[in-house]
Amino acid sequence: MSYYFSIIGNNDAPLYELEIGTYHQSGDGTPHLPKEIHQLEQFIVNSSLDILQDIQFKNNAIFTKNLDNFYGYQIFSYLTQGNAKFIILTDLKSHDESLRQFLIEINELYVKTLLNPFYTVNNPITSSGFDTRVRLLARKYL
Amino acid sequence: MLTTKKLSKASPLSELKRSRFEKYSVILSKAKEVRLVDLKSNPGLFNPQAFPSGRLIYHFSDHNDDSETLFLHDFEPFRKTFLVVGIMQWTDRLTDDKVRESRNNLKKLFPNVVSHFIIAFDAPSSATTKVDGVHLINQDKSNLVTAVCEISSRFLAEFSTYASSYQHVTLRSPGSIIGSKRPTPGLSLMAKQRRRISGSFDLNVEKSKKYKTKGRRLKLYANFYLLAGNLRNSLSNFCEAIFYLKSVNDYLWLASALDGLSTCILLLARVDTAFQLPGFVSTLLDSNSSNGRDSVLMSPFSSPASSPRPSLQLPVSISSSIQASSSVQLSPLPLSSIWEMIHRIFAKTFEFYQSTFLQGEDCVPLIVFCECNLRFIGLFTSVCIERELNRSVINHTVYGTCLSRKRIPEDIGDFDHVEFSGIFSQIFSDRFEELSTEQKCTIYDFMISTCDKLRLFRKKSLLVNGFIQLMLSTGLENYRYIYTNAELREVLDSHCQVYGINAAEFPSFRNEPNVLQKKMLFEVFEFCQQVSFLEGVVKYGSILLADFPTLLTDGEQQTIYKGVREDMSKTEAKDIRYWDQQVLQNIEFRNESNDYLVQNELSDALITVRNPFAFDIEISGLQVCSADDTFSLTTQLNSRRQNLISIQYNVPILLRPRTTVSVPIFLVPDSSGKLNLVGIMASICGCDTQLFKTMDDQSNEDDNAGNRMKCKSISLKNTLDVVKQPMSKTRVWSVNVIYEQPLLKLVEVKLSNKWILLLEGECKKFDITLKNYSHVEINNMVSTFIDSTIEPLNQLLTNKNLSPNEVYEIEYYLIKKKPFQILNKKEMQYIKGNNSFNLAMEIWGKRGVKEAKLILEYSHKRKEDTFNEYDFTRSITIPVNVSVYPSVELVGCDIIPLSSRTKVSTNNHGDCWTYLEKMTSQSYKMSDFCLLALDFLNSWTEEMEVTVQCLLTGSTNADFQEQNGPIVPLPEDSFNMRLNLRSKKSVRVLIPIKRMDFTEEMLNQRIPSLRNKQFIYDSRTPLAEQVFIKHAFWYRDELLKRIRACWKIPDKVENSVYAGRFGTIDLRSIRFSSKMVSILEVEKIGLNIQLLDTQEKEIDSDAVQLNTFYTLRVILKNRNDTAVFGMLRHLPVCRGSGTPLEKKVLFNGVLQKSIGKELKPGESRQFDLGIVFLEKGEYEWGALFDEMEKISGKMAIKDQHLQREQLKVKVC
Repeated sequence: MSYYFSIIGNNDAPLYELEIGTYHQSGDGTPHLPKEIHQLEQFIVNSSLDILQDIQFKNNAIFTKNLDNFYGYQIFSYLTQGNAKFIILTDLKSHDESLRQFLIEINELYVKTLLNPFYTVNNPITSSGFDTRVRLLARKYL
Repeated sequence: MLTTKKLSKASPLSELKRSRFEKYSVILSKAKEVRLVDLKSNPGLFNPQAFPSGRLIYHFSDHNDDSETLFLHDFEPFRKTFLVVGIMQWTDRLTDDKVRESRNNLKKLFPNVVSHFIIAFDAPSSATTKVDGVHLINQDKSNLVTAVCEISSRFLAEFSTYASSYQHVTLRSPGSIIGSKRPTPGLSLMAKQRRRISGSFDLNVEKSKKYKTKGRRLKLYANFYLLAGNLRNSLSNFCEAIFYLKSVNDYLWLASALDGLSTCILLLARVDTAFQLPGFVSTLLDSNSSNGRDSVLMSPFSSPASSPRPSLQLPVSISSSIQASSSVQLSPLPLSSIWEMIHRIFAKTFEFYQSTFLQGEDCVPLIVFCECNLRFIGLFTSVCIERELNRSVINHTVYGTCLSRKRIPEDIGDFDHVEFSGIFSQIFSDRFEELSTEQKCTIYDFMISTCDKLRLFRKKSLLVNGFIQLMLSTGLENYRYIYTNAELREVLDSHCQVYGINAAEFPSFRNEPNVLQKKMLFEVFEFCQQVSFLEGVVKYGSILLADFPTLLTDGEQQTIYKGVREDMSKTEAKDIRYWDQQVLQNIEFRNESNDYLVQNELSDALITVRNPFAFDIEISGLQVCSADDTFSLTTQLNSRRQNLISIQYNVPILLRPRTTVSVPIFLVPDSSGKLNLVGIMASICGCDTQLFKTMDDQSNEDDNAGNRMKCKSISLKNTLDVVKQPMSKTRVWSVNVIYEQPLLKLVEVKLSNKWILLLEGECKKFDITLKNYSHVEINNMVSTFIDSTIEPLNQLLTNKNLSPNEVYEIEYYLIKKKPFQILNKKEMQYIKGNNSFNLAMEIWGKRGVKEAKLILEYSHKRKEDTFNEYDFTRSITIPVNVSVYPSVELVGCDIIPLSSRTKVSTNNHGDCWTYLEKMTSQSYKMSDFCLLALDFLNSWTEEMEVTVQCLLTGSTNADFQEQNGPIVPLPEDSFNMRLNLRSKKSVRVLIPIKRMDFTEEMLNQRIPSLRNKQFIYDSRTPLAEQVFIKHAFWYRDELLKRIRACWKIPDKVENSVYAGRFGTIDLRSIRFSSKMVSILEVEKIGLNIQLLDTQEKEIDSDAVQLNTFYTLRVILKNRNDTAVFGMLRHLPVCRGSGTPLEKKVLFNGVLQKSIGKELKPGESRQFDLGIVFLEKGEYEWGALFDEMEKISGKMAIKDQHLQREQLKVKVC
């Protein structure tokens, strides 16, 4: 099972990307996304924003499961207060709760990043510390 | 809707040209719909009269893909090509045999097709043919519809025969024909299903097989009826098939039957024919999916409990219900109900299709499932756009006519996203990869347009991206020819727009580029390259290079550049902008200390340009641009090889990767005024010539702050809005251009050997020829002379301890006594364009001159000019080679007094004495003169004739001192002498000078400053010395106004090349001591003593008698401007013995006494003293006047005036 995680800014630009495999079920965290998904993952995530932007004004949920589906890959989303989006693309079914927890903790990391006076909103997140923490969270939840 | 169409094929015959074939195809396709009522009846299965309101709709195609879908022909017969029409053009040579042969060929070529026809276009009305199946169309196409009707009639008859062949065929599922790739579910699952089926409804195997066969055949025939336009029979067959297939749970065929039913219903709605579905179909549709299978098994039966063996009665009930519905007069259902019905049918269809996924042979082929989805989503989209199912939706679906709008309205985007997303994910499921490339392309094509209609632009872009990936991975270039460039452009541009890139405009965007945009653009670029969409290659490559240089690797940059450069020349695309708008960094003028340019003249400038890319760029056609179009400017490149000016035209500038280079250029402004440079025009890397500007650094920050995105903005629209905002201020370089200026060049200096040899003090004239090479006249010229003495003199002037008279002397040499003189100064003020001009020069042999230069500063000035705040002048330096040798020098000077008793000796016969005698013979006294002794030294190698002239009074000519040569004319009372002086010899010359009588006021004038320097009060020098310096200056000045000395090399000197040369001796080295000044000046209070006898006759002072009464008369004369008062004192001195004076001289009175009344200016007064000498000897009788203030009681002496000549008395 593999995951593609992306943080999308409120201008639809990808701020952070991570391709990671599961650590459960004797996985070692190596992603095994097929080639066509690997090529299109950014675009699949981007295309799901069509639906996300429609439903975000229809209900109060900030976590949406099965937002979209493409080539059998599901999309999960999390909306932040600043309208940034955390999107996960995965072939994993029925693992919603751990994904939700993962995204909630990512949100905390993201808010800390926003508090950094040297970071401007919608700039790519290049901090290696952020990356390490995200990977740790992925190891814990995914 | 594919199922509604009668697939037919049009093929070109008889070597018909492609263009003509397409033209005829278009004509033929206009007659694609045929009403059954117009057709001839036939006794077959598909008698058109059975359902007259039906229609045959042809789907013409010019390619044959039957082989790809062969395994589906039994399952979905509408995929098969039933009819082939050969198209040919009528010619006179076309005989029946040839036509027949063509038809036979057509049959051979398409052996599996039901009917073959030939249509010959452009036949004359008289032309006929007897060949079966051949139709001639007149040139006015009036019989086209008739021909198509005949073809249709004939086809239906043949189609009946074809359909009858299926009467006894056992129909198999497509999966069993090609072999299913899907995993066959385990036996347990199959058994479970069976068990469940058998648990609810007990059918024995044989009956089940019979029902299945019947159901499948009915479904096939229903499809045939649908193709033949007989909708009523089609509907009844579909319903009947549904019943049988449902009863045996043949889900694949059941779903296909439902699919066909939906089509049939839509077509019935189109022809406004009422219908009624049997109750079991409605029940089937009403059952929900959660418990679908169990409930629908029972649903066809109205009451299973009431009829223990309902199966036996089923066929009767179905037939009767359908018959009943057809016989009873029903009103057509409203379209909204139709849509609801179709919607439900499709939902069931998908459900049943999905349930076949695990059924091995009976698994639905993926293309069938996908196309079913596409059909529904197409209708779904049309209904969403129109907000309901209406006529235009039906016509759009059946005929492809346009809807009332192109896309779903923006304000009503609230269609069921979940439903769409569900269908979308069904199409693009994990099985999508199983489809062939062509099928994928078709699906992409359809879904892209669908997403566009539904305003799901990101989804559309995802599909475009997938499509591009597909094209790139499979190399399916041929697919590209389906699209025109404009279509590709539209699709790709809108694709880019989704990601915030406005490809159609410039600039594409201003926000920070992100990796997603880069990835997308790079793929689009590669796609364009693969499909040879050259315009796209250039356009998207340009955007990548322009906006993504930081995200692109060096290799990517080079790849893109290579691609863009290659296709740039091939494409006709215009307005290709260069990718770095900031290529211009700076424009810098290299004028030395000037901040202006001159019209029509080269001026040096540096243009700083940069290359931020990883490849070489070349800049050609570089031109600097001014803000004002009327201010034209020429730019030329300066190649600057070895500091030589070299102008190059049209030579490209090559910039290495990642460099900033300063390019030297020449600017030539073509007019004058204020020149504002805004940037450069250049064609870089083959792009169009465009203007490049530089951003003003100061204004940038404010703009950026304003454009910063707010957190609340949620869409890319804001990004694009930012793009449309004007760019921040650009930098303007301002420089003043003064009007055209002349250019003067030296033609010739007319000198022998180009060198002047001068003796000191000598003057020489020569000519300098100049030419004005421009057409502009010179009306302003200033000349400056520089020689080697100027610098040392200037150096001396910096010494602040110099006394004012020394300063004046240096200034005199600097300013008044210039080495050159231009004789025709007035003429040179105005030199016309392209004219030559002779400068008449005079050079003076100044001591110490080794080299000399004449500098002319000239310009053209306009009277009306208000602009010329810059005093522009151009200068030309003319060096003159000079050697100055010493001639006669003044080596010493002194002044010797003369007294009234001075007698000219008989031995003195010099000019001086002669002159003095002459003057004393006139009214002058000897004491009015003094002698100036000048020592001259001949430093020249030859004998010199020295002439000294002296005026009686100073010359009134202001330029007297500067003039050279002898005084002409010499006044009568002047002194003139001449003598010969041999080489290296010196001589003392005595010159009688009339003593000078200047007023105090005149003598106390300040020493003038020739440089007009401010007077500085001198506090260091003692006052008395200052007074002396002033007096000495003015006396010397007067002296130099009187005297002049010249030298000449006499003509008589043999073998001299210098014979006859003459010059002036510089006398300015004369310096006065205080003694010399006192000799030269006339005393202010004149004291004259006379010795008179008793008869008041002056007696000879050398023959004074003892013991005789004499009168000593002192005559006091006041030469001051003011009255004087004081004491007169007699100062008798007796030489020789030590006897006191009182015992030698008796005098009657006092030796000191007041003069009484004040002595007025010019007044003389006599004071007499009676004296008697008592002893022999020599006496000196002097007098002194103590000048005092005329205030009683104050004895302070203001000044003392001593008698100049004492009275010397010899008493014998």
